[in-house]
Amino acid sequence: MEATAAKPLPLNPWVTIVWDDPVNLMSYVTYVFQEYFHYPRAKAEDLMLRVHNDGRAVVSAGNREEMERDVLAMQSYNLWSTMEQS
Amino acid sequence: MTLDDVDFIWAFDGRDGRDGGLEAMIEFYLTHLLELLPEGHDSDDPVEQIICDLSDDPTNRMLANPRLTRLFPPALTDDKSADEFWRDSIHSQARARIETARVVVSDLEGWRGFVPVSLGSADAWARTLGALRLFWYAELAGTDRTAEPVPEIIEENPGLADLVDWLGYLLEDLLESRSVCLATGQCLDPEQFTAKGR
Repeated sequence: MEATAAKPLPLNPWVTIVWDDPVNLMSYVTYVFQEYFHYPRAKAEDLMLRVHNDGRAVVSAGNREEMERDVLAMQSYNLWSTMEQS
Repeated sequence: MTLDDVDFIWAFDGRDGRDGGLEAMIEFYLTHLLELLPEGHDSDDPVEQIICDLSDDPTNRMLANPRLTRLFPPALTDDKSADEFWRDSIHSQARARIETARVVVSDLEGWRGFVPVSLGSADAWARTLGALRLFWYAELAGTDRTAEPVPEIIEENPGLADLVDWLGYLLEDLLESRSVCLATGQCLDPEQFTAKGR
């Protein structure tokens, strides 16, 4: 039987997504991204605007366990957050 | 100057009974969260607590309560995975929310009039004000992520819409004041606040 090379797994197979909602304030969403991810203000604002304008934004990537942690953190800040395989 | 966690960066105007009003709202929120914990959740024995957690699935209790449902969105699109995630995380999420809200209650109970909020407590205040806002927004709009307030419900209960707006105002004011204090390195003068019992 011919051996086939195993396909390498992507570096960050899971992502955390934050979804837009009409409740959470833009300033608050920016605050959360800065506070939890320690993103610089410009990046946090950019992500917040992506959430607002596009309806969703990928806010982090990593393995499943890391994304479970990030989803829980976003939900603890009352943001609508999900995780999926990239 | 760098601020310390104990430095005050905002004050909640608790005059005219607003402190009691906010505390009552938080207690109501806490009552709902406590429903998600298993019997025996307050045991001092950590082993018993783990056993209680493992024998209880709070998912259906959460899904039956629209206010709580809005606080626990499904983390995965696949129903089975979302259920597993809920089963494994609701207890710890509820406990964390309770602990966070109790920081705010403790602040409210410690001061008369304006209630100072320290840099170290600001995150608990932000999370709790945000949670309360979402908790009551679900009354106006339902639990769907994109749902807008229903005009008929606002008409029937305009105070509810005002409440959601007020919580939003508090949250914005807190974040703005925190941001200014951090940028300038200045905090609020602690001498201007009155601790209860003083």
